Amino acid sequence: MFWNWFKKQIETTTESKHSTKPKTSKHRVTLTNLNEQLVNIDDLKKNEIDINGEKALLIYIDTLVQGSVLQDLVLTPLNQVSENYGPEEVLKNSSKADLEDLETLIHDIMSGQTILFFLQRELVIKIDTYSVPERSITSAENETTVMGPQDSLTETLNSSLSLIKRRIISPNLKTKFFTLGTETQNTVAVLYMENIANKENVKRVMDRVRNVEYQGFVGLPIFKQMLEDKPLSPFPQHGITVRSDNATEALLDGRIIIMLNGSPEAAILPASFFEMFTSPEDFYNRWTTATMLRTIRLFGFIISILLTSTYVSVLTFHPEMLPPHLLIMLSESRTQVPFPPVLEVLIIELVIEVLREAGARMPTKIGQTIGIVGGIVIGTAAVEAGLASNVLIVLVAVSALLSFLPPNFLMSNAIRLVRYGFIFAAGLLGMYGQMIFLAWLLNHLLNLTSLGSPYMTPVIPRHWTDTLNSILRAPIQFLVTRSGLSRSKKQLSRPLDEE
Amino acid sequence: MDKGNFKKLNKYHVIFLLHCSLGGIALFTIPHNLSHVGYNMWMVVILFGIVAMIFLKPMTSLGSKFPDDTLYVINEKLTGKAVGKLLNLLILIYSTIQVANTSKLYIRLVQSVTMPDYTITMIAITFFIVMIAIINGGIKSIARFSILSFFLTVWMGYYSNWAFADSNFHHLYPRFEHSLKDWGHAFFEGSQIMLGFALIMFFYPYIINQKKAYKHAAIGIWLAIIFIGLICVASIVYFSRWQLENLLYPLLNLYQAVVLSNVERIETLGISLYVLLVLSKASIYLWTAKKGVDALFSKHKNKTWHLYFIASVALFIVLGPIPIYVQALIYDKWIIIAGYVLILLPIFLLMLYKVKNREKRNKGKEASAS
Repeated sequence: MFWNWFKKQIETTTESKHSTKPKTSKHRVTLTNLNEQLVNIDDLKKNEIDINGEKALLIYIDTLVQGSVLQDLVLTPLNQVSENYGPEEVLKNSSKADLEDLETLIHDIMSGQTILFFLQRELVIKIDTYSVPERSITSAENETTVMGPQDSLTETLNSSLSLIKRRIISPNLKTKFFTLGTETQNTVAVLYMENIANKENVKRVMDRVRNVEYQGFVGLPIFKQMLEDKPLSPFPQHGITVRSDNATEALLDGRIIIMLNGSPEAAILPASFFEMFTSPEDFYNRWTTATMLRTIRLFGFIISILLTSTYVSVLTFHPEMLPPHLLIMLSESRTQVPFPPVLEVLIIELVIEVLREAGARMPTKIGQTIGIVGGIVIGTAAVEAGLASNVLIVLVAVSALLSFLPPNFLMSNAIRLVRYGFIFAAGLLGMYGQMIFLAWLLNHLLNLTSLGSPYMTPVIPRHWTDTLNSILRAPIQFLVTRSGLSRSKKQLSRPLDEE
Repeated sequence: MDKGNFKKLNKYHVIFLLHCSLGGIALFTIPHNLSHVGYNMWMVVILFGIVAMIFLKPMTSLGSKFPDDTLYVINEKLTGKAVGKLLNLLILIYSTIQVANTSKLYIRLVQSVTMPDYTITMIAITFFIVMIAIINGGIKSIARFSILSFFLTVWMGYYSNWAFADSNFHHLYPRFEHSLKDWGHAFFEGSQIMLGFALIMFFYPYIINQKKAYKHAAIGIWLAIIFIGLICVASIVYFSRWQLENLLYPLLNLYQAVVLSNVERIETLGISLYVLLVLSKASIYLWTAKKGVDALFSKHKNKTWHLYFIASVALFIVLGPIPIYVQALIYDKWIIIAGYVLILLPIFLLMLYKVKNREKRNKGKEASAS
């Protein structure tokens, strides 16, 4: 009962179904009202200028408008104002402000527009002068590939959109903008191919995006969590990428892409469990190599979650499973260790976890040192001190390495967490414990959905052809249909020869 | 949990639900159960398949007459409220005991083989927690779990390779040296492995393509029969008659034939991994029992606490202090007889349906004549 209540709370806070945003009443634009609203903002500049004998206030946020831009777009053109040419005519990228809507005007100022407030007549002009330094397009550091395009999305939405739009030159690529975050007023872009994407999926995404209420998003990974079907699960239910080729590929498969201004990622909806183990490079490689790599990643996942827990269960409950020479070797390596296997494994796993976290938070050079110190010095010292067996150090290291195989970072994190479940289960009930936890995990994964589609596709196939692009990456010539997961309108991704 | 009666089981779901409803933990004991007919046991397995096919027909016929109703609803519709409820109560008891039986046999096996120094309490509790989690997703969740559990365990069949490598295939020749009574004994004692197909009467309303339900169910049954047959064949060619009669869990001994350089006692892994298949079978029975509680106590309306209640009852039966002779009576005899009654029930209900229909038609004719 408590569980149901808890789930309901989660659902209502994340989805906020049928919620309506509060309507704010509009106020009239006057200098007094403006001054009342814009207090204690030190980078707000109010300069009184003279325009052809007429007094006006130039209002802008200094940190959002570069001086040269202000000069080029506002001050220099204003010198040309004469009796024949009014300020509206000489100022390009300008528009008249609605004098009955103070809130919109303040929002415009706060988002980098410059306001020309005429003091002797009722006229306010807005000029788009937003100009902040932007990060240039670089290669994807977190999703590197040897082959294929190297450009990655940036924090600037327009720049990221351009990377996709230069690849898909079609009016079918639709872009819908939303403004979200009560305080941050983020622009969210939803992209989809109208002729390919499933209409129901598009509607579902639009509804969810529209109904999200939150004070602000500093990154897409936060926003993405609010769109997930099961927020309590440790597994990511949507794809995430910084690669423009990956996002483009997803759009062409009938998926929906969500991007957030200020965040260099794109969310891919829906996504499946197995896609977390695929990389865009799989398509740049030969199909044989790609299949081998995918198999390694998936088996790496299985070994990673079961390796150290098997050590626990075998040494605690089933030593008879080991052949004598292996058992003797393990026993010898554990002769000095005073802890039971489960505690020994937990200690070493936690040490690795701490090292990883410390390495990730430190500056790169210190992080590398921490890794070396931790990996070699602490590992060797722990064995010599008799705190852990050397076999376990090898197993934990292999397990940690394998957990980084999935190209999806969130999946790597989920694997790390799930592994502890297996270790506890093995410590409690041996191999049966591992298997019963596996059963729970499988059931959990089977019940997960991504935008209503089964997360475990193609184990639960929508189309049998999904298996051709799963663990197996069939030759491109065989991949004639889009994935069933996207429930695409047009199933054929390219015409067959006879057509 | 299943809300409403909407159709959600596709052909793969039906095939694997049927596959998993047969078999179960009895796979470990089947060669021993059938040892009354010695090396002829493979014929009994085929006979199971044929019998299941014959009795499956009235079940799907009954389902086609009531496409949106489970057997619980059909009972009430055809036999009236009072008798229907009594029948439902008996089915509820039967399915609950089947849950306890399936779970208990497995839990005891895990405890005795892999953790002889521990009690069964924790094993049983964790088993039931996971089972409840599976059933919470509804019949489709059980079906999906069944599919996955099949593929994750089927590779264990590779280990029969060692048994076949050291075998005598002459054992497979059909010999009819046993009396009819021996055949009857073998058939009765082994039939626990076959009776699960009757559960189709409970998830029939959820099947999308009901017209092909018989075909898909038949595929599921024969898939299971093939695997049961494979185990029996491996046992026949590997074991002596004495071993078949005296080994309680011949499958474990087949595993012991496996020789690997890095692992010994592979049966520990086998038994542990087998939890996936046992969970599938027990979940289908527990889901059926939960539907029975819905039918009896909330007019077929879905209530989640019914699941917790009936799971607690089954867990109590597993852990509770029930005398061994009572257990033997219930699990080895009564439950099998009850299983046969359940597979005969649709024939009786179909006859009742015909009689009622005829009466209705006669009344209609009389009314139109007057």
